Amino acid sequence: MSLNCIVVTPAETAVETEASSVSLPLFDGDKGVMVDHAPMIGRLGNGALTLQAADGTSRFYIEGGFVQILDNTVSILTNRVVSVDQLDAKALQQQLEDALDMPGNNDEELDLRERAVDAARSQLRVAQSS
Amino acid sequence: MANARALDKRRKSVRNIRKITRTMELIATARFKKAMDRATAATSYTKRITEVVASLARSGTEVQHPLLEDRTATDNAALIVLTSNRGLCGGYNGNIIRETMKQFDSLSDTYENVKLIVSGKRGVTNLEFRGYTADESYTQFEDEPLFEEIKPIADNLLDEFIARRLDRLDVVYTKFVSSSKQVAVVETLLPLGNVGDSQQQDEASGSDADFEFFPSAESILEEVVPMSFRINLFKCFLDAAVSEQIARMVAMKSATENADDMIRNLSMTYNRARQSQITGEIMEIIGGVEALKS
Repeated sequence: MSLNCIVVTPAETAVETEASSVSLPLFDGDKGVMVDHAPMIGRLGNGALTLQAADGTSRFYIEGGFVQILDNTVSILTNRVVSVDQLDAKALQQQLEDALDMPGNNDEELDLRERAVDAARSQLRVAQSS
Repeated sequence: MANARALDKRRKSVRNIRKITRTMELIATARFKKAMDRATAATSYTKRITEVVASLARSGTEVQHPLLEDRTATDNAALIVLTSNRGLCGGYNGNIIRETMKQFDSLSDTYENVKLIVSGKRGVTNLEFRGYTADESYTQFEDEPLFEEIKPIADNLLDEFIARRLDRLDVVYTKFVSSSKQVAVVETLLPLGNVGDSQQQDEASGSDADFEFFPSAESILEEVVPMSFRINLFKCFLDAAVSEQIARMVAMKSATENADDMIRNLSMTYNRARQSQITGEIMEIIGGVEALKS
């Protein structure tokens, strides 16, 4: 028995694979999913998605969205998905600095900045932990 | 009889035009296939998000969201028009513009301010010529609209709607029904009334598992509803891109066929003209020889 894991973004189906276990970033922390998990729907945060399969582990960075688990199918709807080996720590460091330099003169700008900083930090964390 | 040389010249220019239309047809075919693949890839997201909404509805959550409620206010409306940047695609832009004028006038009757947002150079210039000036216009969308490009536009509109600076949003675009049928349609995207409709349909077919919600059904709904608006808008852009390529493909195909017909006719007249010219010359020579003899 294994889990069927599908990752879709608005533009395409990025990943569709079998996995024995899945670790995904919920809005408040990581969650592990194994076979025969109870049906659930959850909000995702930014972070690492790890798929453990018989032929090895694959890691992705995902940005927000939702997850639906039903009948051993894990459907992940996310805004963006990048394979971890495509993340470049140096470029991300720069991105984080750029994000920190964004203006924050009103609520909307502050909100935007916060989101950009959070996205950059999470990507950096995922890239460095691999 | 027409001048043989002039006919030949004309035939050459028709041949050149045929080369161009034939190439454009091939390019449109290739682009159509790519655009079509992108459009089908995007449907899997739409399908899954509808599933999530359906599960939410089944869990007994009151589906309430500022984007879903019907507005009674009739102050501000917006109309998005999706046309192409380039011409030579048959009736594609014409159909959209006709629908736009109709919808714009009927919206102006009920709403005080109607904002016109036009994407595509053809639409901007054509509507301006007819006396409808676009308040906002985009020309950066070609045959591969990206979700990242649409998202800021969608977010902007969402903010306006939630702040009650916008009461209704309509989109005029060419809907892709099948590869042989595309129609210019008007769809109301805000308020998002149809999320409710689709979930009722799914309710009958979907499984009735008891879902756990993290953090809560309400919080997920808050996120799902804006997302389904964004994806709806994105889908309109994708449909428009696919339909544009099909329209161009069909228009160029008939242009090529027409050029073929013209070449055939011109060749026939040219050959006749040439022959009669030769006959004329022979007659002259014979005439000259006869004159010398006597």
